[in-house]
Amino acid sequence: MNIDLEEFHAAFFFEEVAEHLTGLEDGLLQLESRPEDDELIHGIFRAAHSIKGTGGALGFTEVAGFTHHVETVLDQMRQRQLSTTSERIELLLKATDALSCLIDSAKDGAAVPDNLDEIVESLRRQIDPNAEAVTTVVAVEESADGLIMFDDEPTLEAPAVAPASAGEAARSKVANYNESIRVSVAKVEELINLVGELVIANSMVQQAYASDDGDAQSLQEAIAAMDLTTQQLQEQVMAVRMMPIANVFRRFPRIVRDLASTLGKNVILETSGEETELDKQVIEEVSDPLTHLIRNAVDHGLETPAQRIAAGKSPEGRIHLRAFHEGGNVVIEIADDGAGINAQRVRQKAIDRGLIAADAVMTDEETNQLIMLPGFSTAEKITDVSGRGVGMDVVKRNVEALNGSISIRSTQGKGSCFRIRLPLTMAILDGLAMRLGNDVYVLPLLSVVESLRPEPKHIVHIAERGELVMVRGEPLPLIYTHRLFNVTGESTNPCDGLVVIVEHQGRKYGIVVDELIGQLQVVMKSLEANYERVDGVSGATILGDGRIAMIVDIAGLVRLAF
Amino acid sequence: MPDDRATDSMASAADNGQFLTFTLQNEEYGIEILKVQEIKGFSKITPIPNAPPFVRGVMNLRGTVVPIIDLRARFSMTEKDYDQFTCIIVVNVGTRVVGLVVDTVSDVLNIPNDSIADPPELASVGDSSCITGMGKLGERIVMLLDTGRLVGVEGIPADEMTAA
Repeated sequence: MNIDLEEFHAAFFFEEVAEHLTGLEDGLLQLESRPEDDELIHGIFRAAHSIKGTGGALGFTEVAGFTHHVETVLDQMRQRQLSTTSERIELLLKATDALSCLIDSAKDGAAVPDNLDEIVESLRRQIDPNAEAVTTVVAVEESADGLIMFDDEPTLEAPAVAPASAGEAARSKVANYNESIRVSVAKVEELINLVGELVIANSMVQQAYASDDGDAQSLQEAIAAMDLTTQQLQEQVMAVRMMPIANVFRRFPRIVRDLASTLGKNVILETSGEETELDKQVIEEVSDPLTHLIRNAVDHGLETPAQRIAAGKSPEGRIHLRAFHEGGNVVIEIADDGAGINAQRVRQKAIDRGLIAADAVMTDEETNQLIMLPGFSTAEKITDVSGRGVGMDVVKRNVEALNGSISIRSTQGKGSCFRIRLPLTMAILDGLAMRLGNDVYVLPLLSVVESLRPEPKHIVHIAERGELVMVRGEPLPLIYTHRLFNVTGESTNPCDGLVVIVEHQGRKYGIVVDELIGQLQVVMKSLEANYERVDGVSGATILGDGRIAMIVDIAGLVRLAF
Repeated sequence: MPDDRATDSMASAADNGQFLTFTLQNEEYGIEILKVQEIKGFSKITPIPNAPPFVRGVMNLRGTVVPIIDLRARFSMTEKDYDQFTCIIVVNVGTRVVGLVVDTVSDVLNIPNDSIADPPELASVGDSSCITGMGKLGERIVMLLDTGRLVGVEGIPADEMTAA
């Protein structure tokens, strides 16, 4: 084994520093509301100190040099020689962003932020207000733990072209840091145990098969044991990919804070359920839609303090972000206590745009869903905040691409709540296999409500609009998958085959199938890797007999059908 | 004289292209051998919803989901039932893996560059844009195909496929 020690150290450094940076930012944000908290400020100081220490020890002199100035200010604040003012916190946050850029530049040669000198200057002025604008000779001799000893000036070269917004760039970078997964030793031990058990189970099967007096009974038992272990192993391996959603939530206090001050609003962000675990991939993919919803809530959802007082509310708007488990899914809710969605206006807009008929009968929930149609925006003016080209329709698409769904509850004057429902993982899916003609398709089990064989009298034909099936008095539209997919199916008559009732966004549909095969867990394979995206299909899977089955995407199927 | 032979084969590698040839409706076609991953017998194919008719579906190739293109259908030739000679040539196009259904696989041929003529103005096949040249070996004529353009299905720009 030949490990490049230097590279190894550097990788370790970046991972560790990313953690300290988040700690630094988090701490500073909390400090705003609790400036007297000694424990907090000590924690912030320690984070800065650790960055300086490791940076210096591993030869990242620019990082260490810059952090030194941050640390000095923090040290004075810690000793109460400097008071904790919001300007000072603002400056330190700016410094944190710059530091993050600096670390990126050390990591992959990204551009060094051009406001470094300016920030260093402001930091120095905090300590000594009379300090002249010295063109820095940074001499760090202080050596608390004997790690840093350098006299030469850190080379801070401002590049010709610097990122437009250092802060923005820094934040998006931090989120993408996780190219490796940290796994707790306990999880690894559990995996090793299970693999051990699998080996034993395997030899049990072989023994049962080979022994002369081997009866079907013992073979069956051995296979059952192996089955169980395989399943446990699968669960444990998936658990390795699970990460707490705190990784995404952590970004929001800063976003909300910056946005609220730009818009002149007072916003309190509350989060709960940060420990809820989700697949690493899902976490990465959900972070953009969530950011958009948060920005939306601050920009459109919450009113200005004056409007709020006029409406008899407290001037501070509240956004509650919470995550929790619900029946094999993870639900993320973004609730605000703002003005709510004006259903009347949404409806009028939709009629104006020709999206719905003027006399359409819709529930409030359905009306609210309209804002997620492409090309729909009720914002009277496009602000810097919301004119970013990511509409609600993109949010919806992103969430649906994760096999999730999004719903909106809103009470006018009281606030809105966006609810995103996501599967725990994208890689494995509980499915219901069904036959259509000669081929097997898999329906996601979470969407399946029931299956039944209707009697002819329960089928209602509506001229040119399709067919309905009456289920206990409830009319449900019928979807003939084989027609939509252009494949041959046998059951052109639902009374010969079966109807599987599925639910999508609170509405039920009946899918006509030839036969139900059974429930199974499938591993999702992408069709896009070698082909292209197919409407109505979320992917493919390989069945026990080696054949491929398509996994039906209910949202896509409904789009195809209506 | 091992040295001479070594230079010989080096020279031939530079001037010759190696092609895997196959037949479609008694005509001979060739594709660059370096694009070929493997040759498989015909196996169970699962149709893809709403795919163009020449995309027969997907096949399980040791855990990879591989789309299968029927070259007869791709070139609008009369279709033929698959038999024991029917083969699937698995090719790599950029990062993609695609299977091509052909009547039979015949040969691996060295075709010197100077024996390759420009594609004909009029081809007997429906889509001549995939033909990059005509290889002549004595009496034999081999139509050389560009795999990138061949599998450039809807939505995938053909030049992206060839460039990759």
